[in-house]
Amino acid sequence: MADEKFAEFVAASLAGLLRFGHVLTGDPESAADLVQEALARTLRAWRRRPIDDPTAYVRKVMVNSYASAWRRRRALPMADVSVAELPTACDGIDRVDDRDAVWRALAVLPPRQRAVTVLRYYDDLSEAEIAAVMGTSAGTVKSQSARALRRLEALLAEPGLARTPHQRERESGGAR
Amino acid sequence: MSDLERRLRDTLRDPRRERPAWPDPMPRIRRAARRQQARLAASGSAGAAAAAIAGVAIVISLAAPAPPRVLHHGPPPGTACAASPHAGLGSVVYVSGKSLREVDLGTRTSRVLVRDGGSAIASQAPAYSHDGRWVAFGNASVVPSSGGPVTSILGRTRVYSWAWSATNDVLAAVTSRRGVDVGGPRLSPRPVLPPGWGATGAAFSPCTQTLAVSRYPYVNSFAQRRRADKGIWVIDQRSGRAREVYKVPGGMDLAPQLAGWSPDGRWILFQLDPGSSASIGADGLPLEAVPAANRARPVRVVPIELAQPLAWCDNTLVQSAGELRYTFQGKHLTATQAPNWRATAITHAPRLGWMLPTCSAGGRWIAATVAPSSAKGYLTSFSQPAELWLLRPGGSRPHVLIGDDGGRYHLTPLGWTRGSRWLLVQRLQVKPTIGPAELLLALVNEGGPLLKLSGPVATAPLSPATAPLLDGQLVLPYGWYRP
Repeated sequence: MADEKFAEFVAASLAGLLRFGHVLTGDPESAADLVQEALARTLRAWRRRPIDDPTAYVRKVMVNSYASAWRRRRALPMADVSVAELPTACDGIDRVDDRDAVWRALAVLPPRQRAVTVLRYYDDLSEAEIAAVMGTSAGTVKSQSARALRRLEALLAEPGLARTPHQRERESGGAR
Repeated sequence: MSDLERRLRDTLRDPRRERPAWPDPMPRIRRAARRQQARLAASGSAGAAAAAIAGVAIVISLAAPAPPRVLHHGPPPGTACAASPHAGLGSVVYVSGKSLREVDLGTRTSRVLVRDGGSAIASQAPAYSHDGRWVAFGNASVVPSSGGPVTSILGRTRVYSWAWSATNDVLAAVTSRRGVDVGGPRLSPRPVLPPGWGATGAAFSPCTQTLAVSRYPYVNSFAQRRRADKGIWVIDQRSGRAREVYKVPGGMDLAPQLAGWSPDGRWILFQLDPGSSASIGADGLPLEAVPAANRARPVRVVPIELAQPLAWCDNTLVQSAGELRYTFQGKHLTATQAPNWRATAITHAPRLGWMLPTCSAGGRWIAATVAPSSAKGYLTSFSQPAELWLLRPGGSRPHVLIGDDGGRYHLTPLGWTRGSRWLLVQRLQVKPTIGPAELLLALVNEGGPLLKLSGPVATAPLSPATAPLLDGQLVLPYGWYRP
């Protein structure tokens, strides 16, 4: 019975969760994995007790799993990856617009900053609401958000960002 | 609202980012819930929260090791997300004589998957598909891991090597005529690169359906070989679009040998073998890396090393390196990381040679085979006693985990379980005669000492006649599915 109701919830909300996962992780396959794991975790909680707002619950699990992965990764020194090294999608890379440039710049943000940005500009959540989702303070959200915007501004000001590596390669005539 | 904020909102709400929902989501969600439950049960109540976080961390590909250069190590733990017939410690499939056997590490039950896999059964180590449902072996043959008929993916086409996709039931095979075909248990084979193209190795990105392929056309004349196109290519196997990410400079007869991808799918690692002379195996050569996204000059990752599986501690690559010819002689462990790839030595014991490192999840421990650095002989080093050591990724706290029992055994670490508590170990008898190989499970305390050595969970004959050497070592051809 509990599983049937959960299946109804999944049917109604899956597309939105996958979309949210995609903007959160920047990659559809990682998004699918993240959504699946978050839904599985929610299902286990659902079987134990009713959940008032399951969509919010799943999104909270997704955001925190994504940010926790970042905390674990910080145990080792991080590579400072430049935008030029980021992979691009293999199909449809010739048409580049501003959205692609912003999308690529978002990929450079650390997951916590990216999560704050997504919750702020995709979900339109307030700082207090973001803090509640991420289990942190509004002050931390504010500082993370400000850092993310500064980083994005700097990245988008880079002259090469508006062009894909494919285009840069063509312009430079092949091998560098 | 600022201009940047408007652009962010516009980008994040871009309808191109819409994703189609899965047609029947509940079975996969239920299976994932069962796997999570099993992981929590396995790691105990104290480690439950950490295991759940680690599980999710793994599926979003932040900690997954790269596809192996030498396919003796099974598919990377990480991106698997669909159903698994196994649970807990997982299952190991291995070659025993001409048969393919599987052992469930949790229950220790063993069975024969393929009774007679033919003469090519040990040409490459068997490997599970990303979700553990299928096992590939020999000449790109596939058998369901639950048992069933054997399918030859490419029919009668002879295969040089093959590799599973980390995300789908798709196998890429380098054919003996140096083309690349893809196929799968439920996918008709189709060519991606034509025969004669010069493919020498292929490996899927850990994140996508993109293939890295090394190219070295085999032509008779030395002059033609120098002029031929040689390099590293990236192929989108669905669309067939191909890009060259590294081109061997004109006039140089260097054969690129693909080593694998970095765990984040951003770098491709390879070695350059002068004149395809097999110098990598004999003396070692530098390991190089190029970005997968654009064409660039390669970066040197390790100054000199023999061919060996890429061992990743999260995003740090740990390799055995050293310029002296024989397997253990002068070999130390180095750690390096993108994008600068500056290698630093993490072992500083000149009397010891360190080989075949393998990292636990989360980068807690590195296990390695250790023998006196004075041990000489490339083709005979596997017959020398060797101990199994542990050390931290930074090089601290090196210590013996399992001794060689008075010179009776050669110990090799094969890999860690996801929770980093168990280490799968190969114990090869070297005295009074070589073989057989036994697979054991070592329970490692968080502080480093051995708590329990369990097994053997599997035993199989092993000699240079039954398996190819891996970095001068004899390793049972095996694959491991870690759910």
